[in-house]
Amino acid sequence: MSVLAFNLTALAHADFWLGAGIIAGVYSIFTLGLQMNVGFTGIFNFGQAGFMAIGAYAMAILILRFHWSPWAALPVATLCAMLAGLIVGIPALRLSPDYLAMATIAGAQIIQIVAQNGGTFTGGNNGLLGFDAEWQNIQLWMLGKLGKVGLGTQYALPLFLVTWATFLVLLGGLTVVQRTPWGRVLRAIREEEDAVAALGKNVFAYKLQSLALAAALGAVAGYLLSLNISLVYPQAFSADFTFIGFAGLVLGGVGSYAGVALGSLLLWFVLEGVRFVELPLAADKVAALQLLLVGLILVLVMVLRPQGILGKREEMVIRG
Amino acid sequence: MASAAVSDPILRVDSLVKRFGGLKAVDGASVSVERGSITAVIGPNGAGKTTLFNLVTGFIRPDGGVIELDGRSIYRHAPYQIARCGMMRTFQLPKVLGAMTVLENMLLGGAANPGERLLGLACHPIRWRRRERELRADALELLERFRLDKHASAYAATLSGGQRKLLEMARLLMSRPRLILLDEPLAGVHPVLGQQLIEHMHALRAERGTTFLFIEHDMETVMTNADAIVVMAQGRVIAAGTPAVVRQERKVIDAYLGSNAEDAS
Repeated sequence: MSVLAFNLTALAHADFWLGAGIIAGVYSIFTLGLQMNVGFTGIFNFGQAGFMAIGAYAMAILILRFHWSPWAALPVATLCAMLAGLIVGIPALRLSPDYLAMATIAGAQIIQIVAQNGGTFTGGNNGLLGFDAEWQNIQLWMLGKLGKVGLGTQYALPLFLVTWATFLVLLGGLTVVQRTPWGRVLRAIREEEDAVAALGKNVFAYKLQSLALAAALGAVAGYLLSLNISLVYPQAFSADFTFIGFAGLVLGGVGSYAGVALGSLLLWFVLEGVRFVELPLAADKVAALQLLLVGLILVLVMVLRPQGILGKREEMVIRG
Repeated sequence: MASAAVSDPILRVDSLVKRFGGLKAVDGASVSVERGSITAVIGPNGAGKTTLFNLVTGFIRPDGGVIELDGRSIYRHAPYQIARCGMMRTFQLPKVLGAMTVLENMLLGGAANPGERLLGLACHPIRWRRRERELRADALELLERFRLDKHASAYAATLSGGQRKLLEMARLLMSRPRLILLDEPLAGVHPVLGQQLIEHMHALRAERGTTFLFIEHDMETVMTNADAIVVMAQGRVIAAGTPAVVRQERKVIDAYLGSNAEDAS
């Protein structure tokens, strides 16, 4: 009897950690986009959650309202998010960094409010359900395969695997692109855009490309987030998502794509792990303690290692 | 005036105006720069020399006038477009990229690199790598020439002020501009490095036919190295011509050189 109880808790724990792992993975992909903007181009994109929302909503709407196949909806939804990046970027990238941050927050707010008030088209505050039939099939197929190695009952495992595989592919691609001459121009813009313009490079065009690609990364995070909760609803894409993404970015190190994963994992395992500690406290106090701990870790990292876990001190050149 | 002595201008500026609020920083300035010359711009502080450079290279939008490079208007063009037309500049405080290596700084100066465009990266993987290798060879050659080759893999932030000016000049040479504008190339530079910079200027003109326009306060440098001098005061060009002619101009002596001018010459 006691053996069975132990196994059950162990399973429950594994499931729980898988859940936290999925969220950390979604945040990692989301933050790759922030890293491209903030860490490698020096543009303060605070509207990333808005681009994530555009991607997720475009996917769900194309599938539910227009009866598209998910395989067609995903690339088109990604293009929609990139287009949103251009629409926000063309006016906002002419602003100085602090105003750019404000304008992008505003852009994300507009997107969220439009989603809330879109009536039956966007599902309003209730959001959209039932776009993930294809994913359910894939999940069952994967669980069947996993059953052969005794993991058939780990229901969160398929999404966990897909999320982190996606992250690794994107990480690899971005790392390669960052080492090309194109990536070199971005890093130069991050440091001193007049110097880059004086060398005959169209700085504005590079910033737009950076923002559009970040928006695409946000959209990918949006798909995985939607699959995780089987729902696309406005509150999932609040500005908090962007702020937590920034915390992960700073923890992992500005200017390191791999650091993004470390930062997000650390953040989420601390946030979720606190729940496991037996404390003589009420639930709301534990929730406050979670954020307090995250704040403490951020402060410690800033004091002990201001460049973040994987950041390079020599490359700390972000302009305020 | 300025244009009288110039037979083949590479750069022609006419009646250029820039207002900052109520202040006319450049107030109808007219300059012509002879192709293949080394021309100096002098004038007291606040005369509008750097503003003139910023206007001509597109970093500030002019409020009126004419700017022509090789007879083509570049008025109100963006800085990157003007640089691509073959006129490039340095800055009073050199804008080297400190968080990048010296070699990376150089490679950034390379023109026509398909690897700098996403489409080029995806569609011409062989061509951009070949171009990158060519640029790397060019860069190493220039670094050796500017005696910066030992620092190629160091972060540019570790260079001295004079070395930064040399790097900034070497970097723009990567895309072989026809006209180079230097904003106070000798200010804050060790005299030995400053002398090197001047020598590079003469050598590049001889080899490549590059035209130079430079702002400088050091009279001896200007008088001994420039073919032509443009004198600015209060946003206007008050005199232009050979050093010998400019030295005799009463207006110049009054506005800029002061009472010591006769002693100095």
